[in-house]
This record gives sequence, C-alpha cells and structure tokens, in this order.
Amino acid sequence: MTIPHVDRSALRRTIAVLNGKGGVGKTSLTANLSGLFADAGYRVLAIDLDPQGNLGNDLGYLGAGLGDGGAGLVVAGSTGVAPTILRDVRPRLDVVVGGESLHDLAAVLQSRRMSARGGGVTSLAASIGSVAADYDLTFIDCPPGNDVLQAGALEAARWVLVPTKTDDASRAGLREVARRFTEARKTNPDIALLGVALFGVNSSAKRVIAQAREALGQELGGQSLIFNATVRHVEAAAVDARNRGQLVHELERDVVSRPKWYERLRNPGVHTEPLASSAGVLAEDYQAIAEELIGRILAVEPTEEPVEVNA
Amino acid sequence: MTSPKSSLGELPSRMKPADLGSAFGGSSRSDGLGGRLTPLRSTPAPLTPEASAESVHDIATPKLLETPETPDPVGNRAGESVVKTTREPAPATHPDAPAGGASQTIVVYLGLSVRERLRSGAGDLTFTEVVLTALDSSYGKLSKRFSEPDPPAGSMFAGRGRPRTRRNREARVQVSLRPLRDDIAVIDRLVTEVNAPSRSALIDAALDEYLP
Repeated sequence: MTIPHVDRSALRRTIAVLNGKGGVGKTSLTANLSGLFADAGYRVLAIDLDPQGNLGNDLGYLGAGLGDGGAGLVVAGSTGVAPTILRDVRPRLDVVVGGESLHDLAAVLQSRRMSARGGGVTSLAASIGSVAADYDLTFIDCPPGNDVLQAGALEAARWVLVPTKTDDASRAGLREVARRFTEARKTNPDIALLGVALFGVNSSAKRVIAQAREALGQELGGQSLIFNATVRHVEAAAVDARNRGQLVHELERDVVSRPKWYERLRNPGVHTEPLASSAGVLAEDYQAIAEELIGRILAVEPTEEPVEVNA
Repeated sequence: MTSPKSSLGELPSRMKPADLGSAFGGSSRSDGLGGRLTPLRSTPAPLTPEASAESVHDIATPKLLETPETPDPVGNRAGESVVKTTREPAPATHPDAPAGGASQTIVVYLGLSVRERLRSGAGDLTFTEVVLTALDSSYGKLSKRFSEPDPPAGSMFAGRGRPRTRRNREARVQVSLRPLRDDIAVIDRLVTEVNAPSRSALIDAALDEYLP
C-alpha cells in the first residue's frame, strides 16, 4: 500500500490526552477543555480514540442518539482519508466519534505494524492531519490500554497532556506514557510534553498533593512540566454533569440560573431539579487548566518566528 | 487549590458566576481564553469571521500569488529533471482537497541558515518559486540525502556513526509557501519517493542543495 503523507503543519496544535491508566481524567479533560475553548471562540475538534466511547457521554451526543460507535473512524484511520465528523455538538466544537468499532481499527493497524509492507499507524495520523487544519485546537482522547491506538495518537500529536491522580499506580501510567513517547519520537520528532496535570485530587490532602508533585518532579526531572492548576475531586458535580450530558461550566450555568434556596423555600410548589452546587468549584479548576494550557503553548509558539510572508 | 489567574482579565479571581453570570446569561469560564492563540484553521470559522481574517494563512497569502499561471523566471538548467512535467499527475494528498490549479498555503519548517540563504537568494522571486525550482534542480540528489547509511565498518548497527540531522543542531523557522494544489500533491509524492520524513525536511534539503 502507499503510505499516506502526514501533514505536520496542520497538526501543530493537536494535543493527545494520554495516560496508560484508566480513570485518571483523560475523557473529562478532553471534553471540558474542548468545550471551554470552543466557548471562547476557537474552532475545536475532539477526537474520541477510546473504544469505550465515553466522550459521547460527557458531551451528550450519545444520549441524543448520535454517533456511529467509531465505525467511520475505522475506515478513515486505516486508510488515511478524512474522518467522518459530527459537527456542532456545541457551537464551534466538532467531534470524531469513537466507540467499540475502534477495536477493529486497532486490529488493522496492528496487523500492518507487524507486516513487512510498512506504514504502521501512519494512516491514522494522516487521517487526523487531513482535517486538523480546519481547527485551532484538536484534542485526542486516548484509550488507556490500547498500544496501537495510543501509538497512532502520538504519531499525530504535537503535544501530549498527561492527566494523573496522586496514587502510585496512576504515576506508573506516566512511565508507560514516557515509553510510548520515546518510541513516537522516532517518526514524529516534533512531539513534546505539554505537561502533567493532577486530576481528581482531594483539596484537603495537601501533604498528599505535595508528595505527588515531588514524586512527579523526580520522574520528570523537575517541576516545570507539572501544571500548577489541578482538578479537584468533586463527585456530585462530575456525576451531575455526565448524567446530563453537560460540561461542567454548562452545569455551573444551570446551577447559577436556578432559583436560589430561599426562593425555593418561599415557593415550595415550584419543582426544581437538585443540582450539585459545587459545579462552580470544578468549573473553576478546568478554567485554570485551560488558561495554563494556553500559556504553555504560547510559551513555545512566540519563539518560532512569525510565519514568513512569501516574498 | 486552584484559582483563576489574574490573566483571566478584569474579572476578580474570586468572583463567582452568581454575581454576573445569571445577569448576563453566560459563563465567565471562557473569558480570557479567546483570542490568545493565533488562529490555525485554513478555512474560516462560520461564527467568528473576524478571527479568520487574522489567520496566519490569510496574512501570509498575498492575492497576487494566487495567480496560477506564473512564468518561470529562473529557467531550468539543461538536463535537469522537472518534477511537474516528468511525472504523472499525483493524487491530492487529502481526498477532500480538490485537485486542480488553485493554490493553497502550506507552512514548512526550515533550518535558520537555509531560510537566510533563501531570503538572500530569492531576489524578486517568491519563496514558492524558488522552492519549486530547487526541487526540480535537486531531484536527482534527494534520494541520497534521505537514504539509510550503511553500517560503519566493524559494526552491525546502522545507527552508529549516523550524522546528526540539521533538526538536532539548528533552530527551525516557519516559512509560508503558496504552491498550486497539484504541486503540493507532487511534493507529497516526492516525500514518499525519496523517503523524506516530512515536506519540511524535503524542501529544506532541496534548498540546501540548490541555494548558494
């Protein structure tokens, strides 16, 4: 087969959200950061590369009966053609839908990796690259344990964002990322670690957080790659948001706009759905992560000279 | 724990959405995020036309260069292979990219020294014209530039003694080019043919061969 070309210039704001361990916040970060940046006016593409397809729950399109279980991405990722895009799940936010069918994509890519014909996971990167130029930011929600799909994401990504919890097992997932990262650099030398973000932390466990930061710093050779912002564990808000197919800042809006507690007490006949009033706390954390993410990208991009206007 | 930084804008960091969010019907969470990253997209966003007008691609694309019929003011030296005429038309890189004579902006990364030589040597020519001429001129040499070296004598490992690439030694800078879509397809085909790791590497090598 002809190995598809990967358009690197189109992929320079493609961010793989990756950790070798599940349940560390990859999908939540992908969904909420994508939504925040789209809300801020950027054109954003979120790619669900996870066979679990949970991004659809966070963004709500699965609940609305949309999505193909990743079938479109199987064809696109194995041939390099442009993937099917589910448009406008939010204003300016489009999605490439994942799901169970991605096991088939993994099988195809793995067989190609092991064959003498070459190509490996390049077709998946080429497919993503064929549409990334239409967006200001592209996020890839990576699966926790599918080696070949992770490799495909890293072949496409310019940046890697690693969410992790404070426990040892989650940090071990970071070491797995480092291994894959090193492997990816052979064919994608531009790839770089955007940072590691602590996710689901207990804000009262300051000593645990400090120890986790210290341990991460030792793993990474310094603290500079660790996000200052963290995402707190706010169970009620996270559950409410996912159950409603809302992003956390959207839930926060609903919480704010509903009648105040004293208004409900004054009008007991008015039924109001109970919502986690802690949504604002969680929304604040995602906002801080988003700001820091922009700062980290800007810290690199200004060092590249402005694009030379063709003489 | 985490708190919004002052870079959020004028909103005090402790301001709660209850204060203003309900009044204006929106979230303050994305305030301060917009407009900080240079737009990347090559097609205008439907809801933010003003942003697309500031696109790097748009800025880097003088209308003058969209004229498909551009005479070759450099001329080709005798015996040089001409990529555009000695090959069959190549398919477009992206299936949704219409083939044809329309031009399209691409961004490539060049070594700083090559970019300086390009600036010095371009004269009145566009960078795009110089790049295409360089590819024509250096076509026969490019395969060798990207071929795997034989293992050094006394070693079974091909990687030993391999020279470090320019990428490792030198800063790279972005240069915008505006070739025809057909020419982009030829360039991509050439990338595959000579085993170059990227368009940027191919063009950097071609310019390095061609420019004084």
